[in-house]
Amino acid sequence: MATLKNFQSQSARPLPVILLADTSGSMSVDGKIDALNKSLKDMIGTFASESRLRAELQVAVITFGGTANVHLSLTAAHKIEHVNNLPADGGTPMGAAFTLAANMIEDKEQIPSRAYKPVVILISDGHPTDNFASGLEQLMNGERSAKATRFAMGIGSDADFSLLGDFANDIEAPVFKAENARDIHRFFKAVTMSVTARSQSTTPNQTVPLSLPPASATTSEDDEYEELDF
Amino acid sequence: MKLAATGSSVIGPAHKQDKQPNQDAVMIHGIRRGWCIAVCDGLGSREKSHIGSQKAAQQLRRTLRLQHKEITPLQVSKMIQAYWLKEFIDDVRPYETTSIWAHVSACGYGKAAQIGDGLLLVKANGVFQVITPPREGFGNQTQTLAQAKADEWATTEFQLSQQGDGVLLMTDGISDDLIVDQLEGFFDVVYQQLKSSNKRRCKQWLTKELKEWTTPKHGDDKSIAGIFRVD
Repeated sequence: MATLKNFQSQSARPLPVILLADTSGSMSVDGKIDALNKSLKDMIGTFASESRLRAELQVAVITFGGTANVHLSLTAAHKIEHVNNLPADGGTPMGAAFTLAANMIEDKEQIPSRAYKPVVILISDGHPTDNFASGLEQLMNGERSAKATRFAMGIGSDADFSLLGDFANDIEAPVFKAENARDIHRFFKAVTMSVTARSQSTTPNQTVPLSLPPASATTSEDDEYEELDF
Repeated sequence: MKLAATGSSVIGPAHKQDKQPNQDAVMIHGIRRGWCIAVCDGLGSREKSHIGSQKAAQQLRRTLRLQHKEITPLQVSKMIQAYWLKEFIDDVRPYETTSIWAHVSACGYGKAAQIGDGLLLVKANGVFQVITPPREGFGNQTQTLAQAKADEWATTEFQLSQQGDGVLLMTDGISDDLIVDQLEGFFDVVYQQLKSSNKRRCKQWLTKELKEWTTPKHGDDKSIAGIFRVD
């Protein structure tokens, strides 16, 4: 008997989440990189355990510390068994990381047209040490990459908040400033909730605004973060 | 020459779960011994888009009934758009929808057009063609009937000159889950089913196939309509 099943894709539509993580030397102080590593693992764990989704959540991590690298290529969250801790060393080649992200989004082999629009998250505690302008331009104005939702978090007072502000494109989610490790965790929680809510909805392409848990509302998870101000 | 038409629309699991209506609309109608068909996909984010998609599908029949002289697919599309905009003159936003339509006359001459997501497939003189342009962005980021500029419509004219020729339209709830290099096989299976049964049975078969969709985590409404030359 004829059937249409033979022509149907057997993979769910992806919703890519790309983290651009500052892993420069300055991230090694005051527990910043530790908080980032833990928050990233918590986010992936939540994505992986969520079963009510209408999309396959995929995560990629691009680091920029000394050099820009794809630390984790786009992988379905439920298939990520282990993420190596992000190191913290060297300068801040943020522009090169923008270029890697733009290339990833433009590549239809990595992100097919049936995918929901990607989420790109930029986290940094400093100023770029490379010529970032062309990479940022590529990411913000690329044919496909321009359509991504971009969130940004500056860590401590030395972050380049002007650049982070240019990067973020969600008017309901201005650049978040992390003043301590718990703030990093709060930001990741908000991103996790936004992405999960999006992927559970009937309109997974619509960005769900970031809703930051109040700083006063501590949970047992928060106790695992040091109370050092950056 | 014998032409036959078929189609079906089923609500997606996501809308069913949220107790929302099917936001797709499908229209299949005989006209002057030919057929006209349309599938329209109301935008998920708009609260009354199920009404917008229904109205868009209906406008094709209205346009063709009023228009006796031969006009181009783009002219038909612009008339559909104008009629639709008149329906929602106060505010089109809650009603936004895509539109794909086709008309085949009794002698097998066809025209079709598309604005927004979905897929428009044609087989003419035994040659299979995907009329839909490649998508530049991502899933569910679509142009709409209300916003469409003339040069954004994908249009085509064709002659169903042999058995197995036809035109097949579907919303993105189906097209986004199809294996890209097997579209012709998909087209042919629908044709074979219609040829070996009848319109009613083929609709039942299509409905069952759409309800038993196998792509993991699929949630969208699914609508399809086709006109084929069956002998």
